[in-house]
Amino acid sequence: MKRSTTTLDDLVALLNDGQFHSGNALGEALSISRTAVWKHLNFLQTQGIDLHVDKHRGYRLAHPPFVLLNVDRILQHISSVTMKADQIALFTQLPSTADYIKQLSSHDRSLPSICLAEQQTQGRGRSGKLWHSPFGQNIYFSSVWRIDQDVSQLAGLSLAIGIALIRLLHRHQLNDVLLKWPNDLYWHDHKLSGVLIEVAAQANHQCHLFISFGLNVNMPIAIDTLQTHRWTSMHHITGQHYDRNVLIAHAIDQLADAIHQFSAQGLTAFSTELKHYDYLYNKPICLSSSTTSSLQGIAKGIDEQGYLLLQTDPTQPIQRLNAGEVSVMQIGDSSH
Amino acid sequence: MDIRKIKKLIELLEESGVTEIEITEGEESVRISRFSSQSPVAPTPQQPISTALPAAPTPVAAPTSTVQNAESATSKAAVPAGHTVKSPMVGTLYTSPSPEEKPFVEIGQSVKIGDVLCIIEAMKMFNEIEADKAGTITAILTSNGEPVEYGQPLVVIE
Repeated sequence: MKRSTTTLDDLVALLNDGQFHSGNALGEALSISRTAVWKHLNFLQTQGIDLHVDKHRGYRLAHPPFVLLNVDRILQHISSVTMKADQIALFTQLPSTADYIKQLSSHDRSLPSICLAEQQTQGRGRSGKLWHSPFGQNIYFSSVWRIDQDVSQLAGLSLAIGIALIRLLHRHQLNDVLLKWPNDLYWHDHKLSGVLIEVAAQANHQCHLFISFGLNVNMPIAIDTLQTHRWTSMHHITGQHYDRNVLIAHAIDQLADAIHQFSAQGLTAFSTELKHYDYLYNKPICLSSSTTSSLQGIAKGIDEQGYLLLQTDPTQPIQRLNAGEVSVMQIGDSSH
Repeated sequence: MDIRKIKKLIELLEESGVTEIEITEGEESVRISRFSSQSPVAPTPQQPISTALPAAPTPVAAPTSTVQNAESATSKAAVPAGHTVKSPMVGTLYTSPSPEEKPFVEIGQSVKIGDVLCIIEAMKMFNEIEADKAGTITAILTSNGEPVEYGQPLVVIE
């Protein structure tokens, strides 16, 4: 569903005072009909946003503040790139921001271009795993950038982007997040964020980078979810509510910086951080793929080209790996 | 034509002592020749002719000295002449968008410029390899999940 967020945005802004508002008053304030107000309120409720409804007093948000995404607010907080409103496409709901941004590439438009959705219905990783996607809580971000590099020089870029997101979290005082090779962010064995990168070679040694990430922000995490899915959110970690608009603006800043740094210095510019924030280091891991048998061993860091180093057997040389799904083996899991 | 069928044909060729075989099936045809300056090497299950690359010690490990090996491997079978699409990067190759889906291209299929031929992954960075020439796919030189090197031939378009 492609749907303008503007009216919904204004409605939520009114409700964010935590007070009751009658349907009539909301309709007048927004210059829309009573029925239109009801439709928007109904939409919020179907999306899992709790509203208190009182026959006499009207409606109020059960858990304010609830801040929707807003292009102007994002633009206000960007500092390292110049962007205009038409470079950010914002949707209430989209099957997948990554699919949307890829379809943009054929058009001639200013880069970077960003696509955001309050909710994704078919968010994905390559393995087809779904990314849990409640409305208005998290960040579903896709973007397309130009980089002046040949595609052969882009090895390890996904790690640089992972570090960019770690820097973003540092800026918001979340310091103990680690990078799980090659593209996920973990906090104490729970997944907080995942990155997906696609690259399309252009002429003249340029590439288009399609960078997507999901970041769990204000999503409440139930205890059972914590154990079964091993997800977490920034809110769950710190107890704070975050304005996703500010986080998105800062993410754009960090991505711009990281892409610039990567094109100037390659992965070397990130090597200290890669070492410091290596979630898998010295852990027993299993590396599997859809097409071949799995490998087990001890993770031994990341080399200068971004390959995962794996010690399968102390008598064998360390292997360098560039693909596969990594899972950390729990004690007792190992078949050694 | 199915990769497995081609592999079977190669095994058949090896067993029979025939040096060359050409099979036409509808619009698809494949010619496999053992004639080469090198002594013929019997393909093993780890070295299907279609891959043009020796099996790496492990499925995901980066192989070494693959360029030379790739050349000697291709010389074992006649690769149809035509425009060769080469790998622009080191990574792992996928022939379909996801394990459940059909391959992007099959032998005999006609392609336009910009059509996706395969995907190469390196550390969760995915690169869709597009046809840079219109024509018919006459050879697919790699198989799903295989490690590929920079410059390695992937697909022939004629």
